Amino acid sequence: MYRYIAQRLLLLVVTLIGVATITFFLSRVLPGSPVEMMIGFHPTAEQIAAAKKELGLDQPLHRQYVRFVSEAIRGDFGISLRTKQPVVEEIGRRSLATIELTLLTTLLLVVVGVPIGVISAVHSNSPVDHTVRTLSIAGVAFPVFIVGMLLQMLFYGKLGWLPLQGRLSSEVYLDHPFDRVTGMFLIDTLLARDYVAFRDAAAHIVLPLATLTLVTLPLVTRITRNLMMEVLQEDYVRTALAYGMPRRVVYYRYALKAMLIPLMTVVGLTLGFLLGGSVVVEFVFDWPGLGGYVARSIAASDFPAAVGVTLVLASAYLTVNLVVDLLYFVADPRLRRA
Amino acid sequence: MDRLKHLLAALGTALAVAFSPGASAAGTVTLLDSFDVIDWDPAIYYSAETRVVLNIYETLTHYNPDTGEAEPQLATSWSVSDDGLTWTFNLREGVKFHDGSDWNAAAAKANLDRVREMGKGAAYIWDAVTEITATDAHTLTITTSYPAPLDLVASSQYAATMASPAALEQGTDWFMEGNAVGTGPYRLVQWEKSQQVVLEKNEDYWGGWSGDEFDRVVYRLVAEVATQVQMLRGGEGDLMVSTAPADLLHQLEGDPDLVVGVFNSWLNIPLMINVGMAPTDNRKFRQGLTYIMDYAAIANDIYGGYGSVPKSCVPQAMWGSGEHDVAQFDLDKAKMLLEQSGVPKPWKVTYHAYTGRQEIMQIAELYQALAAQVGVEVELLTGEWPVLWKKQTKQESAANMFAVLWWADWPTPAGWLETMFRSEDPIVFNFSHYSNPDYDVVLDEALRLQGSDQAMAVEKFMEAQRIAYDDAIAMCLVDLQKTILHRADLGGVDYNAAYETVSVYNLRRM
Repeated sequence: MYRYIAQRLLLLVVTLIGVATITFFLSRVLPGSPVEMMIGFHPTAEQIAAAKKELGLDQPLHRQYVRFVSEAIRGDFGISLRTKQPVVEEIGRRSLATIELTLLTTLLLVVVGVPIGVISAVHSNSPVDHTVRTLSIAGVAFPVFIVGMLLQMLFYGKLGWLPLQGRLSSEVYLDHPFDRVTGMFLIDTLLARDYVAFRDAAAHIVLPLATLTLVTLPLVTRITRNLMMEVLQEDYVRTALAYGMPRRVVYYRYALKAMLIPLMTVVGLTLGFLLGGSVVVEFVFDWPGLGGYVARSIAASDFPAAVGVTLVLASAYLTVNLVVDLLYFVADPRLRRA
Repeated sequence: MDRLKHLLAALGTALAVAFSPGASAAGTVTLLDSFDVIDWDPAIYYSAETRVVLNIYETLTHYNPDTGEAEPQLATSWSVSDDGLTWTFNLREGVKFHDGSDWNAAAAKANLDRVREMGKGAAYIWDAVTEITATDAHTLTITTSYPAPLDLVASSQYAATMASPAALEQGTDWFMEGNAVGTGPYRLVQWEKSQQVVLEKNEDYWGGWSGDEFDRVVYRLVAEVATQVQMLRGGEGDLMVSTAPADLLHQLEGDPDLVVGVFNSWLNIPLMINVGMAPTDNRKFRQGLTYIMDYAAIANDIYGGYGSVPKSCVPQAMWGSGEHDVAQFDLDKAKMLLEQSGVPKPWKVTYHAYTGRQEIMQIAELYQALAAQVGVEVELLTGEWPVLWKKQTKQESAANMFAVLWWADWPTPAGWLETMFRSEDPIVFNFSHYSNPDYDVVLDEALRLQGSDQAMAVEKFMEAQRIAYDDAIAMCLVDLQKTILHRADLGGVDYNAAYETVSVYNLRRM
């Protein structure tokens, strides 16, 4: 098993080097120079030349690559051309906002999505099942931004229950300062025992969280349902039921266990997707996460930021996959023996 | 199931109590902006940072759009020597920076020397200057190598604002952490990156306080216009500093809670025609092209009435623009000129249209459709602004036509006539690749005169424009108006074309 882990870690490093190299060359080869973007709207020709020199863009490509690699190894991705803030610092701050949102979403997917899928499978072709399946299709069919904006209109516009955008209210930012220990406001505000700020942070995360959950839930529900349907046809389930074991025990203790591995894969992939794929939600709710950052950086040819974010997202995705694979060993004793 | 219902109900109530949207706190005004500050350094910032920082910083002079002249701000009076080369500014006394230090000639010199030395942002506006001297505590003398309108230059929204010398010593990195120390009515108290910028009243402001101004200003960063509108409606925001599209403004006309303020601006759209590539290297052919556009449709339909048909490629609101006999919409005349040009058929031109502004794309599509009626095929090439900009500066990747949204850095027609039309090598903004010695001579005279004799300068600017329009190097598509959407209970909303900001000092709750 240790040998396996070592192999996987080595593979992870190789993949990251590949990703870094490809993104570096792509960002240099694609048309559109970032320089003009960086120095404002009416630069003089001298200013453009000076900026190119400052960025090292006047150097040959292989020199630029060597410089990039040596800096990246030290964890320095340079200064964003668009926001002019250090890329590492910005990625750090934004990734925590993203992690806060995506981890909660994933949690909800497991706690809500999986049981719904199981119920739907157990009662297949019943009204419950039809309702779940219809809603699933509707959920997949609705674009994310529509779901987000409908929720905004309902809970902010009509009912006035929840805030529209941002991570905190203006007043709370100003009058309730708290230490950004983890960068996840729900945890930080609790650590600071500032319950006003905590409630404000909680109120602000509800709508983006609901939107992300609503649009990814159908996937998890449908896969759970299909997996469960297959397991329910197995002989041992029929046998257990024939012996008169309580249905609840059969479904949740034995059948659910049998589908843990494919389910973990799905949840892991969803989490990996959410880390970089919540762009739309971040735009609609002004959630200062990674997705919006990478989208804007690419549009602005901001290659230090784009390369940095791509690397971070790639490592996160690979790590999630690795963790999921390792969890197989925990879930399945047979693998441990092999 | 019942337990779940109770749980949900309890959760709903808890959240509803936690959050109660509604009007901003008394004494606070909330401005909605889609642009986060990028450069905090006053010598560098060169974009929409002005919306925030011009409430923190001030300049020596302030431009009055009604008179076209500079008025006192941090300088109370000024004079220029007879040869137009030596300017003396008398500085306002008793003014303090937000850090408590004094505003004086040494501070002014420190700011301007730093801008010129760094050469970033809009530093070029001081190109004429040779030396800056603090003659005494409140007298600043500036000498120039040629006559330049320094009183207008000093009113610029870029590269002319005055920061505390102690702040300047801290350097760019310190500014970039979100620091600003000026003399203006508001001081910076918080920058929460990509979420908000907060300013508070500077109690010691030299201009004084009447008592009904706002104590606190929150610039809330909201990416989507639709979200901003909802916040205005909900009372959570008071004013949108970013411009909303015209069709949205028309939808909101019936809303009693909201008002659209309409103001003159220096924004316009010249459509540059490339004189260096076939078939637009033919003057007659270019002239023909200029008659193809339905100018009224751009102002009235694409910009929904928040624009007007121009009489020059310099906005009418800018001094020195003048009224010119620019091309009208006339397809017959266009066809006649195209035929006369001798350019062999089929007629085909390429057109760069950049994405990100729906109006730029709509204009391109309108032109394409109209041109087809007179037998000109227009090939639209689209891309991001920086990409197309770069392509247009090199003849091998340029298009025949390129429409750009434009404005000036400081109050001068040179923002168009020099930046876009004058010979340039390498090309930066001369998207027509126009190089006409006759034009350059007249323009240079105008540039030299604008410091000493504005009336003569206007005449020369007019003459230069006549040459350029006769050569048909650009189509003047539309003069735009600035629209500001705000709540009806917010008074004092005003806009000065020279400054891309809303002055919070003038705002009141009504």
